[in-house]
Amino acid sequence: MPSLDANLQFMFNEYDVLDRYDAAARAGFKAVELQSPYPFEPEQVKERLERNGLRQILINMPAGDERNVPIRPDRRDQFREFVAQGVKYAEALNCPVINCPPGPAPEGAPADELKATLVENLRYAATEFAKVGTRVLVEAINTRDQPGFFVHTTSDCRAVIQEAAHENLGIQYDVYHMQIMEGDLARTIQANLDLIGHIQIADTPGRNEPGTGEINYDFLLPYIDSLGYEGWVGCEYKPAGRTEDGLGWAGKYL
Amino acid sequence: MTKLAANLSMMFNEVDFLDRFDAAASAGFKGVEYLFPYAFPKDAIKEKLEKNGLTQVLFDFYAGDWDAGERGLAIHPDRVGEFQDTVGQALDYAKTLGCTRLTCLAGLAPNEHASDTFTQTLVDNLKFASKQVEGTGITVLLEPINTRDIPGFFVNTTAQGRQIIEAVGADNVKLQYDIYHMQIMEGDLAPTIEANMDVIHHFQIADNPGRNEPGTGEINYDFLLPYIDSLGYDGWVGCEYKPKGKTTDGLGWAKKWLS
Repeated sequence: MPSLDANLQFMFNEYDVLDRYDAAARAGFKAVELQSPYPFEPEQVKERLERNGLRQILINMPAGDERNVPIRPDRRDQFREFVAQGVKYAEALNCPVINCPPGPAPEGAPADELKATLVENLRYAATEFAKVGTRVLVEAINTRDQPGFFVHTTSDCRAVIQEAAHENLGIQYDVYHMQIMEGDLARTIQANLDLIGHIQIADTPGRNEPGTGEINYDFLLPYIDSLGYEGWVGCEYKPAGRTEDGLGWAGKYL
Repeated sequence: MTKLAANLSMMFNEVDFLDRFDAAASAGFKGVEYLFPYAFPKDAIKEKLEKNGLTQVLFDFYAGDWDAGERGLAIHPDRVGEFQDTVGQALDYAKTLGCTRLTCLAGLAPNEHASDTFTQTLVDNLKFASKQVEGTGITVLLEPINTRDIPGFFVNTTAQGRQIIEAVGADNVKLQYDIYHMQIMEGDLAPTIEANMDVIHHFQIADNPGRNEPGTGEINYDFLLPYIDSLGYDGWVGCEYKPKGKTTDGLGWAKKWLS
């Protein structure tokens, strides 16, 4: 059975961020993800996890204002500061994976320089996060929502990870982003299962609940399960109405 | 409401080709399509259509020696004469069968470096076909096909298909959008369909992976078919899928659209 976790950046926006932990647990989730825990002290988040018996499955690296530090040759020092901060939170929250989205390419920057920077940064991050048992993932994002996003296909993502060649790296496969960019979901997931460390879902168009768009999650989630995927599936969608009202599709998994 | 046509090349393979018309009508279909009628006398097909009250929705131009692996003649500069003959042949059948859509399979590109030559030949051939069918009410369709099932197929994305159709510039030359093929090649189905509604004149469907019935794969047809409807599409949707078992046993998904 697929293990669903609630994405608290997208879901339960009816509540303040920390209160979303309580709401997710009430709705039946056993685990959560949150891109940015950084406005809070790790202890504040930890307290919510413990109170609700939840696991923190994923956080993102600090993103900064420009959101593309991992690919910036002129920001290597800042990347290392972000890693140090991420390690602190990942360790405190006992978080198994951290997402490191490369971000949008600065205009006119040579792609090979950006890629070389990303590869070097990923290697560094992989080594540092390995010390606290957290795997570093790279996420490809669609360029309609985020124009210029540097890594935007599964094969690009795979190529970067293979070049970095560190066993503590993996792919975060977002079904919504990849349906917009390339389609062929089941085959691509199967072909990349060796590297996929986390999956996120939403339907398209609209990025709302599964069942509201062109993706057949009633097929895809059991299919992913049948491949032997052991990671979590993060519900990174924008509820069409109240979060709790839109959880019908997930009933059988919660 | 969605108008489904049975694809008789893929469905009802339990019976001989001419008997598939009866089988499709019995199952509730009002229209049929298939790859080629040319192995059968046109009057024999016409009789089957009339007997069953079926509309002949679509078939393809002869596409070369299928069993030898050919998948269309239209991009090959050394086969223009042959292509032109296939247009005459298709038109002859279409007039008898009352068929108003003819699909042109582009063919396999043996050499990617000759891409410009293939495109130009294809555009010229489609212009020729467009002139030949002028005044008959027939629309010539170009279909992009995925290159996993047919490696080397020359037209394999919606954007490329659109570009070629725009280069032809005739209002009787349009796009056939096969949802199965495009899910394999590019995804982003609903937005792509919406953005290309002005050139799409026929749909085909199957699920992926497997090319079986809608509902067996990753495409949510329960969303997509009503969505296409809501865009104002009033043409046909061809069921070009390989039934997983007996054709009629796998029609549960289609019940609400069949009578």
